[in-house]
Amino acid sequence: MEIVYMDIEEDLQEEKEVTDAIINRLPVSLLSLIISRLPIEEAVRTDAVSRRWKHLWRWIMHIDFDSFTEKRYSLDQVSRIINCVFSLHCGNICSCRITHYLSHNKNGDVKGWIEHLRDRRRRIQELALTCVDDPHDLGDLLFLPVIIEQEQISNDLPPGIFGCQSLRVLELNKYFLRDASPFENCANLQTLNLQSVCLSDDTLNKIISNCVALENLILSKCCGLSKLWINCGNLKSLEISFFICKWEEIDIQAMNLASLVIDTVHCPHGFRFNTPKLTELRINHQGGQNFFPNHQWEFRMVNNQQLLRRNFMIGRGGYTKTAEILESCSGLYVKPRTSHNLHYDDEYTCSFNNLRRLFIKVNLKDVRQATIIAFFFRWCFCLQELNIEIDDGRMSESDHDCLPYPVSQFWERREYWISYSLRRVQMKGFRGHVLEIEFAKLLLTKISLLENMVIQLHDECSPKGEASTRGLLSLPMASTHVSIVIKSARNRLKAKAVQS
Amino acid sequence: MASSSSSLPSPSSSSSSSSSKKLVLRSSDEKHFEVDEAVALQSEMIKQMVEDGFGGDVIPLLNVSSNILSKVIDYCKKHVDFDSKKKMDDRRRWDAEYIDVGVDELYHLIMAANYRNIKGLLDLTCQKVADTIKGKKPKQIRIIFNIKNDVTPEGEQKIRKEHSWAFE
Repeated sequence: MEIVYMDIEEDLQEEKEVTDAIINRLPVSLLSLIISRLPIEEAVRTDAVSRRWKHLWRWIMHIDFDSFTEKRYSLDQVSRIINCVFSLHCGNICSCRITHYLSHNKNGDVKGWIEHLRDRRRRIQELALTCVDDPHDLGDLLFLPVIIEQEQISNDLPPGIFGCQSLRVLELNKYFLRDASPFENCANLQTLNLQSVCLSDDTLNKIISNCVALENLILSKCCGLSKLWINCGNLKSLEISFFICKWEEIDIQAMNLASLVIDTVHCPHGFRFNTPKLTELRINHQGGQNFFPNHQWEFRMVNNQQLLRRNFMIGRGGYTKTAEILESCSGLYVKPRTSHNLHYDDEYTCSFNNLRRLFIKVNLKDVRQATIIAFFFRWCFCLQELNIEIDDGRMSESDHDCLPYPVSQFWERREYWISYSLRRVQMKGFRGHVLEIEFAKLLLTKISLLENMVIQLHDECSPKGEASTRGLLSLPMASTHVSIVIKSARNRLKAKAVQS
Repeated sequence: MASSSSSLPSPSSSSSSSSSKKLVLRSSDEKHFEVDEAVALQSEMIKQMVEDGFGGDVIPLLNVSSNILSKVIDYCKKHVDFDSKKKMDDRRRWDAEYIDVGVDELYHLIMAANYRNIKGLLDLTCQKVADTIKGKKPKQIRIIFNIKNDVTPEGEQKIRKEHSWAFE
């Protein structure tokens, strides 16, 4: 026997030192839990390990069929593997991920698989479906801006297919939803994650109203929507990323929303949130001018050439800056009335009274942006954690001239606007600019609840800027128990001051 | 077997987040650990016990030794902390360092996480084992885990034939 293993014995010497028989003593249920974390083909291979391991994989609760399309298996091979695994598997399948080819929709395979998983015996809770182009389309689809007729690309799912008692989490990736009918009777779905999904406004609204238990919604790189008006009472968390909304404002009415993430969104018509229970807000944008690097997918899905061209133009235009979003949703900027927003009252409903955590990317060095932030803070009576990534975007020194007083007095004059409930503050990309220093100074000297401030200096922070940042350590602090950490990216030096 | 079943069950305010409330856990070797309630409630099993009125007592953990229990408590403490801050990067880094343990300890951590029903820790430990055998052939897995080969060559041939797609 040993001779047989000689060839690999050496490679495994290292691992042998750290592992031994003990793992094999784990109960079968735990071994199967471990196997469920392997790619499905490896899990099936463990049949040959020993008699104790045989058939273990038939009880795994998580199956991942994502790797076969990447390996460019043929249509038939993928179907055969999935059908074979489903027919041999014995127990519940709580979570399943399937990446399939476009043609699997057409030939009804996908429908069959979902129906299989919907079976009461399987009790599927989490399902993720990704649709990719057929293997005979050579090359990466991202570089083929070919528009295919809607008929050809439609990956239509039958009505009510997701209406399954046990289903809690559903992720769709690169799907085209012609209408909301697959979501009929979707009574228990809590989380819906739509990635690169093409759907109309009407479809989205109908999906939301069909999924009565929906609490978490993620919309990423979705296209086909001309506006985004979400009205959902149960929603607790919402994430919108890589989204273009050129013609209308983004309007979110969600009485129970607790967490909102807006990442790299373009919406020049403004934002309107009616979210009185919001506790966490994150606004971020990625990339510079290179908006939506991977967003070209939609070119293939949209058969409307006009829409295609329009989106392409926006793609070069860039995202809406965090400060602009804050400005628009805090009521600082009152939009001129247009035909689009006639349906609103003039009265502004404040949505940030309960905000606990705020993560933003702004340019603190810019007077205009600083003004917006200061104004926004006035709404935040409960803010405890503030995380600012300092952006180096648009900045013109001449802006500072518009103030009727020295710029160093800017924050001092807004002393009563800041959130006195703040406990933790983190600032990244600090350069020791006068407005940054004054902001930090105000927080340190005025907020008596402050526990901790972390300042991460910018890689290119000048020695002068660094010196004035370190000057913050010697201020008379308002809080008796604040700790300040200044991290310098260049030499990884940390300066700490704890006042007792 | 709880030693002091005489004390009255605490009023069932179990899920209220009074941060000062403490629970006492007892390991199999009779050592006591006092932990914040929020930390102990990371364990679904303890959560259930507290809801059933065990809150005021010492909670006995018959299958968990003190050195493993202290390691498990470390995990729970840190993750209560992470949950309030939501820093994914820090969490991943900390987890990676935490799980860098010998196989014996790993085994006991899996058993403890399973017994106490701490989902995060169970995921982390099982993933660690799965990573060890990822990409390995059955005979390599046998060597890694010191498993006796009791599959006959004919049996193995049959398995290979049955799932030929997986052995390609």
